[in-house]
This record gives sequence, structure tokens and C-alpha cells, in this order.
Amino acid sequence: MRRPLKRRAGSGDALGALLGALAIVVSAAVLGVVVNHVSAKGIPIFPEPGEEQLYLPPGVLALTAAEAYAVFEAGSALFLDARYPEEYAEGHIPGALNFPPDDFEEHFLDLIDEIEAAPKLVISCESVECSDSTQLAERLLEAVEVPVYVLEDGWRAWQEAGYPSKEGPEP
Amino acid sequence: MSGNVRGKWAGHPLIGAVCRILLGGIFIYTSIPKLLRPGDFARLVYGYQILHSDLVNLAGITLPWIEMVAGILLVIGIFPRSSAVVLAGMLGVFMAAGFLALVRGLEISCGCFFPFMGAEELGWDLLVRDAVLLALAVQVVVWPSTFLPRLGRR
Repeated sequence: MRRPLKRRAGSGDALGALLGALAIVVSAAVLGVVVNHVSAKGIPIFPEPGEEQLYLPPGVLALTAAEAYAVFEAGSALFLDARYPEEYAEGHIPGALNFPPDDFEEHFLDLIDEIEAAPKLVISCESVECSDSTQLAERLLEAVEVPVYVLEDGWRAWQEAGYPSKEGPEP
Repeated sequence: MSGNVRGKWAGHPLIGAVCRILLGGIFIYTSIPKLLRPGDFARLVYGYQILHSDLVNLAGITLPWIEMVAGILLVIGIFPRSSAVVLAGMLGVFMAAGFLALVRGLEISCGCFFPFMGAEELGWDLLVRDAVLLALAVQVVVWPSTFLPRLGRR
């Protein structure tokens, strides 16, 4: 039966709407879990014990700020900073090259010699919730043979630990 | 529909259609990048420091699909009230999460309208934007409208 649409809803309708909302949430969540399960880009629903808590693309390894500092001290890696130039200029890891997230091909061609000559790459962005470093790591892993690491908690953790920093547009 | 003047214009089917399409369309649009990158969206959720890290992947996997499904249902007018209740609930959660992050002084990416595109830092303007969207959702909840009358009351 066609009901008048302009009528304000009653309390019976309110319960129906809430049950409908619950059904939508559950159905969509199940759909998400199923799609994630069959997708090539799916992620673990819950992290396995002993694995990284936050998802990283396959082949990309995480470093804490302290581990990255040890690598920095040993001079055994090229550091890449995946933030925008303005953020980079405000402060970055000394020697880190800026590889902003806007144009992969352009920046890759600019830095290809340094990247291919590096024993390994350590990539960072602002903090733990940013994904520019993991995105860059994933693309570099496809493009070069060099081992790729991500500074898991980003520039902020490095800075808060009091490790060396440098201001300005130069590495 | 109430007989007062405000009810007459606020509950107009045309206003209802605009609210549904606008709200649903925004949620569809913003859910797409999150759907495609659940791991990165989970990082954004983690940045709010509300959910335990064991649960952020589950949130990253399911939340974008809830946004997408409710958004589509709202735009095409299937179970518009229920869809609007879902999106109103999500907006309430987003506002609460944003408020808690701001009062704790967290400097994090908002992950709101343009997730993963950088330079969208969480600020008080988020709460204003979400409140405007919440008003659209309330309109649909109170005066549900649809192009499909049989499904328009739920």
C-alpha cells in the first residue's frame, strides 16, 4: 500500500528504522569482510601474534625510531622523506632526500641514481597514522631491488626522541 | 508532517531529496579511497588513539563499506530512514572521536573528506562540517522521502 510520504514517522516506524539500520550495518560489515578476504589487496582482520600491529604492504619492513637511528649512525641506508617540501623544510633527518607524494615518476627519475646505489632505503612521513611512507615503500619495492624499510612512527617519533634534525630545503 | 510553517518547508519532499542525495553522495565519495586502501585507513583510525590496535584493521575493513552501502541506499531511496540513522550514528562517532582528539591535543590527519591526500589536518572545522551533515541526516530521519514509495518508510 502506498503511504503518504509527507507524514511524520511514528514510534513503530522508529523501531523499524533502528532495526533496519542495524541490518544495514551488519550486512555492510559482512560484505566488507568478504570482499577483503577475496581481494588481492586484503589485509589481516586481526594482527597475528608477533606480527606488526599496523598493516604494511608485503615485503616492506618496519623500523622503530631507535632502530632507524642505529641505521642512521651506521650510515648504512638512504633516508627518504615522503612529506611535502614545506614540511620537509621545517625539519628532517639530516641527509634524507625529499620524495613528496604528489608525482612518483618525476621524483623517482630525479632520485633514481641515489636510490639504486643505496644499500637499503628507510622511508618516513609525518607520524604513525600517515600512509605516504608505506605507499612510497610499496611503489619503490616494485621499481628497485633495494630493501625497503619504513620508519613506523614517522618524523614525529624521531624528533621526539631528540635525534639529529636539519631545517631548510637541502638534505 | 507537522502543520507548522517550519515543518512545511523542512519536510518538503524536494528538500528531502536534496538532503538524501547530498549526504549519501558525500559518504559514497569519501568511502571510495578508504575501500581501496583499508590498511591505510586503519592507520588513520589508529591515529585517533581510541580503538585498540588489534581492532583498527577490522574498523578499516568494515567502516568504509558501511558508509558506501548506507550512502547508496540513501541516494536511491531504499530504506532512507534506516540509512540516515546509520550515517547519523557514524557522524556522531566521527564528531566524538574528533572532539576527543582535539581536546587531547593530537595533531593528526583528519581522514575525512580527502583521506590520504595529506594537508587535511584535524581541526575544529571538522565538527562544524559534521554537524551540517548531521542536520541533513536528521531531516531524512524525520521526513523520509524516496522515489520508491514502498520502501520509503524504513
